[in-house]
Amino acid sequence: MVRHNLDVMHVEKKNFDNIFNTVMDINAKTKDTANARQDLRLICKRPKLELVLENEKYKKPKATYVLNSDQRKMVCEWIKQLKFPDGYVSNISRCINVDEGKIYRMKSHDCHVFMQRLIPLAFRDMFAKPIWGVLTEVSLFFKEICANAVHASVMEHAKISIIKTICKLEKNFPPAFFDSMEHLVIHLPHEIKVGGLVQYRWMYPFERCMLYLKRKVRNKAKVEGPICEAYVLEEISNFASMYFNPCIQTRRTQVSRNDDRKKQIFWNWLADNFLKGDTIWRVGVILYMFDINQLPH
Amino acid sequence: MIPGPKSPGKSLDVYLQPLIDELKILWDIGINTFDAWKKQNFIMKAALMWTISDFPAYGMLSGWSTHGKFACPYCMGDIKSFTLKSGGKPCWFDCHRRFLPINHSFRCDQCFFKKSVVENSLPPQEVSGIDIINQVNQPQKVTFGLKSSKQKQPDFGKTHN
Repeated sequence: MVRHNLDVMHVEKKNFDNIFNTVMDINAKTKDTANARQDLRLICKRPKLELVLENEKYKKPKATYVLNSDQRKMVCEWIKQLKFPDGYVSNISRCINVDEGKIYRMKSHDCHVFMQRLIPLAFRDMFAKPIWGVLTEVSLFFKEICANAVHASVMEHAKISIIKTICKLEKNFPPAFFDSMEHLVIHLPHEIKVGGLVQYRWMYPFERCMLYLKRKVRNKAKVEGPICEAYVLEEISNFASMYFNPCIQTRRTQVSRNDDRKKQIFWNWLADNFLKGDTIWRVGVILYMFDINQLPH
Repeated sequence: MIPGPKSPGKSLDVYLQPLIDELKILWDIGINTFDAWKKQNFIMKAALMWTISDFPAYGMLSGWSTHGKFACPYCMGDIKSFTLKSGGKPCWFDCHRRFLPINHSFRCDQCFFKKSVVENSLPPQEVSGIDIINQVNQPQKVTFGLKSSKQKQPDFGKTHN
């Protein structure tokens, strides 16, 4: 039984942030800090990673799971020249600063795509096989649970494999790397087995709705007012547009960004055949009668 | 409902009360509703299946805090997480070997995980629907309406946050 859903969107984003910032050694965001190395000395037996005293200063030895500056530059340059299909992801190349080897302004959905598609490619040949392997396993796990058709037996398998994957991460990364988000991952397959696909249980639609509402705010001192006002206005214009002749372009009949002219042909066809400046209820009836995909071209 | 110092926090229940009342009516009695397709009335019943929220809201809704050592709402009190000495943050290092099969080689590994620790414990029990009903029907000692945020529930920090 699932009473409250773990939000896969946030879990994935935080996991990605942890992995990426640590691997790219991004200042102030990496989990592999001097404090982490001190804790590592207390908890684990990894003498190669412990802080070394040199000229009365502690030095952090280089870890196998962190890229050096040349590799970082290579990864950044690779991300810079990436191109995606329209609408697949925001323009990730804008988020990269090649000179500093930094990445910023990544949104949850960018992290989602990066986690599932790019991590195995980006870090290939950069790391030794065990570390690249474990990062790829994490990536594949998220890809598996976010699939739009999931078989129960696959989740049963994923449940066991993710535990091994996290254990392998533990073998390589320092203790400070593991916050609660790394732990919650192991409960996700169970939720999918009980509750079904993640697409119906994650926060993406709600976060998008929040942005839609947030954009309507004009007066930051009184947030709710402008939202209500703008929402009502939008509804009115929406309903009013239903009384117009269908061939007039309104917000409902707006041409989409990638238009195959299907919608416009449909409205023209409707106007020619059935409606000659007629009212809303007939549009409704006709829409009900005809599936929009089975129209003459 | 905006998170921050003035957020309702544990007192979110007060705001949920009207919703719970209506849900109870919808579940027990139902409500007369018009079916536009059949053109007749029917008794609509409804149930709350689950909630979808981000983690701060998860903490408020479920009543199980998603901060600190006890952040995992599945493992609840049965945890192995600890606080880092220098980092000062809760850490889940070496909490996952117990989920492995009992004869897995990682369980005896004393080198790569916590220093010279062999993991023998079993994973926390999965809670079934009947367990949840029992939990809900027999609530433990809870003091309602804490006067300030500094006032803590009994057993705070030992079995829960």
